[in-house]
Amino acid sequence: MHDKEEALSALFAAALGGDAAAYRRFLQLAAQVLRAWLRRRMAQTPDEVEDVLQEILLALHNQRASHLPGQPLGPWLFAIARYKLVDYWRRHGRRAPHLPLDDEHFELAAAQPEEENTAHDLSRLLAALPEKQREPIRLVKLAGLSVSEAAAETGMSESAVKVGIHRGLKALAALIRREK
Amino acid sequence: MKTDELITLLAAREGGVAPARPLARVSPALAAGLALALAGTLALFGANPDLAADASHASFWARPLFALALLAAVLPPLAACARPAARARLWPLTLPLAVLWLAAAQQLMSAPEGTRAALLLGDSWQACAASILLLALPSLALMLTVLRTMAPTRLALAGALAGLASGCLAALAYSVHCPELALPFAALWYVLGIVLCALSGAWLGPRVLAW
Repeated sequence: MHDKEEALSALFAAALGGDAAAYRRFLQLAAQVLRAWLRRRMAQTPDEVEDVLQEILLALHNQRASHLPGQPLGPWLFAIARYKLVDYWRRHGRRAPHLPLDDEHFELAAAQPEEENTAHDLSRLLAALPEKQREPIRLVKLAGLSVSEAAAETGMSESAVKVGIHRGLKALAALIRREK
Repeated sequence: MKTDELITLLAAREGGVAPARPLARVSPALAAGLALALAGTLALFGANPDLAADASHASFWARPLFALALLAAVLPPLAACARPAARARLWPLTLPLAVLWLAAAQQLMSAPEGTRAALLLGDSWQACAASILLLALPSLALMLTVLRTMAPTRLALAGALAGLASGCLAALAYSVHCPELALPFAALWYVLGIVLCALSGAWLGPRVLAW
């Protein structure tokens, strides 16, 4: 169990240092761990697991600076997961059952035959963003341009591009929260 | 969208990020909140005309020192609340309160019989707590705005601590106006005002800080 937490910690530390490939592996491993964690707690509504998982991944991304290097990763990860799950239940008018605090389990979900599509359509969500957020995300995150290339393309400054991506992804999370 | 699509999006071209420093983010809000509370005190209530004379008494300084001590005790747990899973140590908050109440009790008990009510009520008890709450509101709004951009997972606690901090700033500012030097007065009404601020923050937290 603890080797997965160590793997996650190592990947996350590399990611904070700028290793995008390590960050992708972190998110993939975190998704597998969280999917299993969610399935145990959403046994009545398995078709909603992927929606909540996506909200949690977005939250982890938007708040990745809130993890203090040197502190254990597990409590941080599951505090955000718990927070988002309870928030999801409340928004859907369900009484949130008491989630025990020592419920961090680093097991992986059984492999899925085919990954499910959630109701959140990425292109529709992006289209709802203001241009100063949508264009930086589209150019840097989807088309793979560097920040300086995107700055040249849009006429925005490099810091405006970075701010646009940062705010745009937070706005995306807020849009998803409001959708259901 | 498929989760892998989202992961690809999030990880693409992802540079590093510096760890958040909540106190650095909150400090400008505290400074601005204090400035606004002082401006509010002068505009709404006016400075104490005997301020210079009162300030030469040691007992004048009890209220601002208490407010500063409580503020110092509130900032570490407030910073902790801005992160998921950081431990917020609340027990230091009891220390300034204990000191103030013990000193106030001592002053009350050593006073002659007929003067005790005056020590507790002063001339302006009706205004004190409500004024502190009013003066704290701009700073509470600023602090909640800053906290919203961070990652609090305990929303009522974060709100309550933001309220407590705002109350301390307001109490500091209000000392510029308030002519009551008696410790029992402060122990009752100043503390009530600060507690009302904390309760307001606790109520607002879950409604305003969700992300």
